Amino acid sequence: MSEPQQSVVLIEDEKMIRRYVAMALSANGFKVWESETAQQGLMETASRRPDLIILDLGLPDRDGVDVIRELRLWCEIPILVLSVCTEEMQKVAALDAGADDYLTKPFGVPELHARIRAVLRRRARRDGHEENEGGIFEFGDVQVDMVHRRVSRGGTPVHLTPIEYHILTLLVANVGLVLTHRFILQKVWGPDYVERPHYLRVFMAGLRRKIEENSSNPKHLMTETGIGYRLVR
Amino acid sequence: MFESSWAGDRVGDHLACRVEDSLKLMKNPQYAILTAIKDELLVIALIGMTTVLLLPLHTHLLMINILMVYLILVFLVALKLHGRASILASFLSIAIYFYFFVPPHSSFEIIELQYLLTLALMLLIAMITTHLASGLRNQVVIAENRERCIRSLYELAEELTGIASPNQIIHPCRRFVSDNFDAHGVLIFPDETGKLSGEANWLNLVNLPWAQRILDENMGTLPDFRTCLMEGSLYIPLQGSEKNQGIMVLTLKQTDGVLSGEQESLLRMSVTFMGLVLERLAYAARERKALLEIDSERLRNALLASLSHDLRTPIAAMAGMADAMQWSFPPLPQTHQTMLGGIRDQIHLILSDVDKLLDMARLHQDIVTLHKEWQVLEEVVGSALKTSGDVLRGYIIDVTMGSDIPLLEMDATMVERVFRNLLENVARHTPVGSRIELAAHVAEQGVVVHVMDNGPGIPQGQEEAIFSKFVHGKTIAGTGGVGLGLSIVRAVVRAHGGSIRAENRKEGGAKFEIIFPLGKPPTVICDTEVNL
Repeated sequence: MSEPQQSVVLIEDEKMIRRYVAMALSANGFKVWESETAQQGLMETASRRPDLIILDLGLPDRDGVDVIRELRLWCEIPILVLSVCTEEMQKVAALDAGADDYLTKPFGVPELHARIRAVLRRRARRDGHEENEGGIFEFGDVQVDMVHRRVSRGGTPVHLTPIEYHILTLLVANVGLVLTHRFILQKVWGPDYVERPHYLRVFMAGLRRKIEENSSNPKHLMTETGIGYRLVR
Repeated sequence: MFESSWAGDRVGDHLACRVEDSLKLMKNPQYAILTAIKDELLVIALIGMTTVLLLPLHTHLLMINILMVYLILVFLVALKLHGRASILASFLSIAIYFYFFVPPHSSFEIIELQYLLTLALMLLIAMITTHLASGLRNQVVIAENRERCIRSLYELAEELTGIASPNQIIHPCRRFVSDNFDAHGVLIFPDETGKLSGEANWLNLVNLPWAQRILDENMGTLPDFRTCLMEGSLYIPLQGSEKNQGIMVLTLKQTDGVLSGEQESLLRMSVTFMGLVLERLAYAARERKALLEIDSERLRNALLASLSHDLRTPIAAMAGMADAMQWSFPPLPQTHQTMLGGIRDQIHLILSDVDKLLDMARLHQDIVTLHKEWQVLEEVVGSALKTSGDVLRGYIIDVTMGSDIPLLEMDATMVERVFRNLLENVARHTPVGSRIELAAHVAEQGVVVHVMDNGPGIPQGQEEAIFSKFVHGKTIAGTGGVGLGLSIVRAVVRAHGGSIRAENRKEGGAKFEIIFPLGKPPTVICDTEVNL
């Protein structure tokens, strides 16, 4: 590998899960620093300055959401959250506190790698390391031309409303990552609308009808129930 | 609620005692007359004694000084005794003065016209004095009464503000009534449905239907007490700001329910206050109950959450390690890969059953708080299809969902589980390659969703039984499951005010019909398409 090795601080109290995540990460060329507690994890992060933090929300010593808030006070390192809990509220809280994405246990190795890639790619793009593909973004048979503000599907132009287009560009800019309802509502409609997720749902339904082959069984504009939306390539 | 009664205590009530005494005396006519004219007798005695004292001195004293002594006497009598006695004192002292001290002595004869003027002036002064003094005395009596009322109201307020339970209101109220009214009092409280009830022995003293009428009809402002009178008792509502908190039945022993103006205003103030105190207690009780419920819900949720965590964590670790082995390098031989795949699938089955058990535990305990939001049904169905992806591999899925379906108020996570369980159920009971149809349309009774397959259908007569807990049908692949899927489905649909039933299709296969009630969806302002 010509690139310098990327590093991860893994904060997880369950030994078996820590072991297999570390195994999967090392197999993919990451340098992994393991921590058992939030306190240890914070110290590792401060001293190692990793490229990514993987944080379990159910740590014994501290509330995971608190840990994220504290990390965000002094670092911008991407955070991927692991949660065993099916409770969506906690994940939303973690994302709103500044986590980049989440995985619900049990998750497969391919899922883990896809998520890590998406998180790191967004970070790279934000830092200006990755080139944008000539302003044209493609997923499935859909093409989004960011420069000319044109969307087409299978070569035929698709007419979007300004709001639909705005939502789509947000999803494109964060491809592969979940965006919470709150985040999208705030970006597209403004802070007065954050308590009106039905607006987003209605517009997403419209967007799906225009972009997806089968709007009832979408392949790209995915719903994360109770959390938000994710664009999958 | 609570029910209780109390009766005005007569013992120790000085007002009552006074009346009681006079009642006893009334039975003996001699005593009665003596009591009635006791003040007049006192006046006669006083004036007699003064005259006896003054007679030997009158040669030494000026006439005007003697006159002054009598005027002072009249003034004192007017100040201390009632009106009739002071008038008697005026006339009597003037008569005696003229008889004994104005020459000619021991005669009413007036020899000088001047004395006649003196007589008139003296009478005038005596009358004015009497009038002023009795006015003063009335003021004092009124002020004293008022002070007593205020003091007892204050004491009542002090006692009632500190109380924590409705039963504690009874004793202070009993004392208050016996201190201020000569009455028996009973407090009746309504139960949760607003009905006055009780079995205690005091109930036969009370006209319950009338009390109920007063309770129901008098909201907002206190009624005229005369309209609350029934069989010699006053039925007074204890009003709170929201609803009436109870009825006080006041049986006055003397006056057939007629109160003096002062008593009435005191009664008004006190019942208003009692009503407010009762309302405060009702609020406090409600709040305590709510807090208790929140606490116990939190506890049960925490218990289930930690159970869920403890069960899911090792399963997740197993699944993860099986997965990691599958992707390990160098790759495992094909047979091992297949076995690992099998392990992983079984782990996911266990996990889904654990989830169902926990869901059922939550639903069963009624502790599911639905996070209802206005949802697009298509989206909920779509994410159910996504999450049950692996199970549905190899099935033909056909979704027909009109764009005219309104927003439905539902907990998306729970309803997603409804569809996931239904789809899993279909996959379990039909061979791979079967066709699963999902269709929704708007009808009068709500949004109707059909989940249909072309499999073997539901065994005859089992259409209802399949929704019971722990009931298994005959499965295709022998993949059992805990038999909770459909009972969770029904519980969730019902929690949303909907209904679900199952039947066999004429053309073969099973059909589930869910009806979600239509709500009043909020409006969404849409923008228009522009050529981007």
